[in-house]
Amino acid sequence: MENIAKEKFILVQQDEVLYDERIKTKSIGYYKDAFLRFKKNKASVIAAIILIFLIIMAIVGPFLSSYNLFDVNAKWSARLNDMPPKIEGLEWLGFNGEKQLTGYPENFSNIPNGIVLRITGRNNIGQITVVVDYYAYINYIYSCEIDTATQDFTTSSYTNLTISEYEAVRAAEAATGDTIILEDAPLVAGSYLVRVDYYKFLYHIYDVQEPAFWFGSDPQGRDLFTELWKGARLSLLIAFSVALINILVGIIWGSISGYFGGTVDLVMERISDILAGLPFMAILTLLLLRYGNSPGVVIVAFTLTGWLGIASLTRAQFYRYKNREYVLAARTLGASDSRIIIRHIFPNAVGTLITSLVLYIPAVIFSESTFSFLGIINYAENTSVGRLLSTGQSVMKESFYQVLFPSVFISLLMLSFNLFGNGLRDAFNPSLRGVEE
Amino acid sequence: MRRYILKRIGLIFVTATIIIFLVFYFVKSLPTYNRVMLGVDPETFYLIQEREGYNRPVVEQFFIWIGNIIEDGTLGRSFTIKRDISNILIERIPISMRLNIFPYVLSLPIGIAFGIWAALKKNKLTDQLISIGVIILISVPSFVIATMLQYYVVYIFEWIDTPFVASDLDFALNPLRGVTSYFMPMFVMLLSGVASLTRITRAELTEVLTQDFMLLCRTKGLTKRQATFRHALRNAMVPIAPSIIGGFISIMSGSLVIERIFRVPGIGGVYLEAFQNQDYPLIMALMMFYTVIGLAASLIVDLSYGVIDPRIRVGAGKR
Repeated sequence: MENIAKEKFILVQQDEVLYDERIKTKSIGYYKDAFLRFKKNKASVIAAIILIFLIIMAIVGPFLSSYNLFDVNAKWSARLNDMPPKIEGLEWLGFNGEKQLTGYPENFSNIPNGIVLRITGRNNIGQITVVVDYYAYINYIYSCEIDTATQDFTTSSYTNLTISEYEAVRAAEAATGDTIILEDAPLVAGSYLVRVDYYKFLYHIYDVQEPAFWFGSDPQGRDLFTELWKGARLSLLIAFSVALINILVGIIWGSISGYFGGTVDLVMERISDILAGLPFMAILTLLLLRYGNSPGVVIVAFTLTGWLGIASLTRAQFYRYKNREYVLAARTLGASDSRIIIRHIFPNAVGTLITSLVLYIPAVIFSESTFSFLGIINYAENTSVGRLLSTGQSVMKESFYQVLFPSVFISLLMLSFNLFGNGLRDAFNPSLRGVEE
Repeated sequence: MRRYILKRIGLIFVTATIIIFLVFYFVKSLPTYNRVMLGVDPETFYLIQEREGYNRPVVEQFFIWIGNIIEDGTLGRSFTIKRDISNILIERIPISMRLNIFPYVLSLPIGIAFGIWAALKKNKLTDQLISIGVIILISVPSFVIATMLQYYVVYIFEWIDTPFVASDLDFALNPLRGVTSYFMPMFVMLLSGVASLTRITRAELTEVLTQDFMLLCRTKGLTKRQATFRHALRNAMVPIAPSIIGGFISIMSGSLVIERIFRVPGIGGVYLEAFQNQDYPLIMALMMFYTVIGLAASLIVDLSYGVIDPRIRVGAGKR
């Protein structure tokens, strides 16, 4: 070994400048890292997709159906109450517009063929249960129902038209050649009591196509599909604004309280303590009684004490980080308080805060829908998922779909929010994963 | 310890007084307060005014109100039920308690058992099934569960013939029917109690099980079961036990949702009625009731923390 001649050695880099080896892979930042971890959690990804779908539906859903007879004429829309769900092409899934009715056999004996689909049972007082094509049945009831005993048309077969409506019907008949009025009557006390083909009447006068409610209709004859997404939109809107306000207030309050400590902290903590003792229900009821039932008041009620949790979370984070060496270093270099708070301590808390925000939103939706179910929140102009459920509950025996669709919606929304939030928490804070997976 | 307890009670007392005063002030200054009073017949109205010191400053009215509670034990007179509010509370609170206590007590062993089971079988099939169940039960609102239960049990399967709880009269006539009518509300409450307890037990226990001293326990020869039940569970229960003890106080307050859906004539139903009828004295009394219950529960939680884990005494001075 010692005998190798010196000149046999060549310097590898005689003239070259030495560089570090270039990093081959892309650098992965905090958020990218979190996103990569999040993607691995299949349940959360699915939940996120469902969530996005529900949010999009809440925005566009109310515009998908053009049916608005209730707003145009509540009297005629009330005749289309509690209609079962019907979607063309989805009949096999139960969206077939069929409904069970119970009555004595003679109640159904005059009905023309094709409306009563099948007899499913009879009880011990002689009544039978039949399944009817409810859409056709309603048209029959309001156009040409015949009383079994007298063999005359029943009172519900007649429609009371105002003069202007009567003239509009006559004009439509003349224009299209369609027969709308089945039995004419003279003008009595400012109105015409005539028999009309009800669906044709709706079509020609109110431009309602032969009705087919996708999710059925409610006891006032409103389209449940539209109402559900309207309620969803309002719930989400309230939840998002409440979460946003609470996060903002909570972060600012918690940062100041946690960073400065001492007397400032003590005073702020006592204020928080008293606010925390106020029962949420008391705040909500008092505000609603005083300022009326509107989404704005509800948002205020939720935000009055809602930020306390976020504030104490932020405060704890600040207590944890404010005495670290790197903060001291920053201060030595002359960084101002606000710079240290915003640039050096706060980013540590971002992951936790995003997670708590995502898990906070379903909690708001939960209590908003609970209180509107109870009738404490009862918006004058808007519907809400809770209210749909509570009206549906009273007619649940006959029209189960009226509870089913809002129930499925709210459960799906809550479930996907919670799964999504859990996924986010695991992604942002892998150390918590062992604790609660 | 005695000093600590006294300090906590004192603090709670101050907070309660401030909150109740705030609520009282707000209720009294509602613009519609006197409008509803006019519906009461003039003689009673005059008596109520006399006793509760109307037309005096609100602060003074507050002291009169408190004085009435202490002297006569009366919380004022309800406009709509037309009775003394104390009597209404005394009548309705036991109904709520009767309904709540059974699911609450039953949920403790079930919830803790599921939590332990899931924690021991962490990341195995058992754990995953339990976790899925828990997240579903926590996410789906109880009014949805209750409604579905009513529909299927009463209308589809017809196991129970009424969706609502039986009144006292029905109960006396047919005790069996009365008892079965309580199954559904209790079941719904049991489900949500079990779900939250399972979740928290599992979380706390998994955290303890990963700590170093558990390894020591195993090394010194304890079986997994012994180590879990003798050492891990005790530590895991430290944060859970206080909230369980505090929960006993909350039994009194009843559940608004359950009482509405199953038509339970408990305290929650009174609240909804009072709200709908704008029965302000009743609302006022109920809010005081809820505030006191809430604060008492948090006091109990804090105190039992102090007993169970002396390291975390709130406001116990500098350590």
